[in-house]
Amino acid sequence: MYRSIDDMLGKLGSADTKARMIGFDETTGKAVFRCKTGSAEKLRAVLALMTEMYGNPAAAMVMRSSGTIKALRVRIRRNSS
Amino acid sequence: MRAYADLHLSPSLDDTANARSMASLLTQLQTKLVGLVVPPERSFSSLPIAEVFRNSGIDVATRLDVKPKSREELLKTLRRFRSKYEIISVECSTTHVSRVAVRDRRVDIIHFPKRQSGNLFRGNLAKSCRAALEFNLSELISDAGLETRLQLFRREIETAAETSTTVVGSSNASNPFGLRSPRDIAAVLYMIGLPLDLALRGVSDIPLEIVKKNRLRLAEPQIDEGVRILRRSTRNE
Repeated sequence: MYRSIDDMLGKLGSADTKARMIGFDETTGKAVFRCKTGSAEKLRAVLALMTEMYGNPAAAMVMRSSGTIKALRVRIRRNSS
Repeated sequence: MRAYADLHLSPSLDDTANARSMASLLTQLQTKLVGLVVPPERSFSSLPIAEVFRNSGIDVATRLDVKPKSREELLKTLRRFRSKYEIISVECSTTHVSRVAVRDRRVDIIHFPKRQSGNLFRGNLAKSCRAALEFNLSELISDAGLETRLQLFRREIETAAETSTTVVGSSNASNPFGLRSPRDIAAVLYMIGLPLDLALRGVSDIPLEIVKKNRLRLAEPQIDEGVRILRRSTRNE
């Protein structure tokens, strides 16, 4: 994932986005990322262009985005129930 | 809330299991409408996968992908199939085809294949374009050479923005791995150079308008462009 950001945005762009994975649920394959507010579109685009992970075919999609992690978790829970 | 659409899905028409997993993913991605590629030899009534999508609450529009070799072939296909499909997309593989496709109002979407060099969306073609220019994400993520294709897309998007041509973003997915959220496709369009509001309209309002307009046209074929029925007379005249 971080390699994809580096490939797409370069080292400088990658540092500028400040993207960081702060949670991953292996059973559902869902992850929570944080980044700078102005870099959300860049991160979305990078995730959309990801096609593999550790040599295996993979697809990443943004389910929800939010200004705070708390609101994000509430929204995801509300939509999955 | 914005309603999103993906006008280009090309799954196997008989594989309901594949369609079911795509439909469940599309529901999570808040996609309200999909365009399903249906070849002319298939009848719409015998499409089990369309039912799968509808049962998941996703509206399905039938789409024909035309890949004509000549101008005559394109015109013949349009005459034959325009009244049967909700969306008609033309692959502009030659200049002769592109010149007709961009001007003909029966064409909804045009697409310039990136694997062929020489035929580009530029100059007079772009100025006289009435159809929407399609951006397929599958072309970016399918093979190697991302940089070259990004450059080609960037040039196309720049021309479209200069000439105010409408741009539509789609996934062209045939399985769940090829699917992407329309909102993410808009983010890619934005990264390539399209303003964010136009990129968002390209995956929501514009595709929905195309289908709405064509459904009206198919329901009332005698009505001309710009005319719509508000009410009918109750008297028999």
